[in-house]
Amino acid sequence: MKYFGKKSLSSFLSSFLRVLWHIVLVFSIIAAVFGTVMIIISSGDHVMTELAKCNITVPEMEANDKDWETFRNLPLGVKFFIMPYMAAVVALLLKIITRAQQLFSNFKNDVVFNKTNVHLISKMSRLMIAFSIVTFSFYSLLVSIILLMLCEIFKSGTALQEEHDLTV
Amino acid sequence: MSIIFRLDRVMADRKMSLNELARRIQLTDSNLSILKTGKAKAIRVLTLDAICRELNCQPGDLLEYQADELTTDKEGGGTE
Repeated sequence: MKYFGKKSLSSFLSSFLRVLWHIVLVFSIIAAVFGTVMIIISSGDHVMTELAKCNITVPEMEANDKDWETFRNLPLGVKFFIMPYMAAVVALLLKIITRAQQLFSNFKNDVVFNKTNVHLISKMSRLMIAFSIVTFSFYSLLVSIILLMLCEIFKSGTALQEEHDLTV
Repeated sequence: MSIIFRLDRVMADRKMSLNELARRIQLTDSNLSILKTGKAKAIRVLTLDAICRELNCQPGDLLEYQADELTTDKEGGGTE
């Protein structure tokens, strides 16, 4: 299997990440709109009471009744805090995907041990650390540590590549 | 770096152009330019051999050691 260059794994991953970036963006916009509607509904409280009066019940809604009640009872300030929090998570995710896409795009163009790639991996690891803090995810932290190690490997590789290029 | 490559001086003495030398030693112009401008980090013995052969000179004619200011200061500080 080819890892670098055109028609390789890097090429596929670069294209896949570009598509994923757009999917995440579209879904986050839908989630933002849906979330805003939910906050408005939960603060108004009219729709749910009307639904209860008319005995219109959706099975999935019944199952999520407890969650809905918990969400509805949250103070309005907390409800509105959820939106910027989610926006921050999505923004971080999009940035990480962008950096990864740029990295694989460089791999596709046979640019492997390069200062730009070291910079990209370093930025990705820092973004991953921020992501793990925001989402309280241990696995993201683990990935960010691996990325930091990979960054050091790429730094050494870049130094060797530079030395090789400047050997006449 | 303290090592200076005096390729341009030897080439001027022999009246040989960069392109001509590059063609003779089968090196690309860009690589020879790296050598000439002193950007090179290392030189292969094979390359040095080819240059010496074509320019009819000794490796010592091509390379020159010039102590850095930092090195000179250190040496000076030690003797005082």
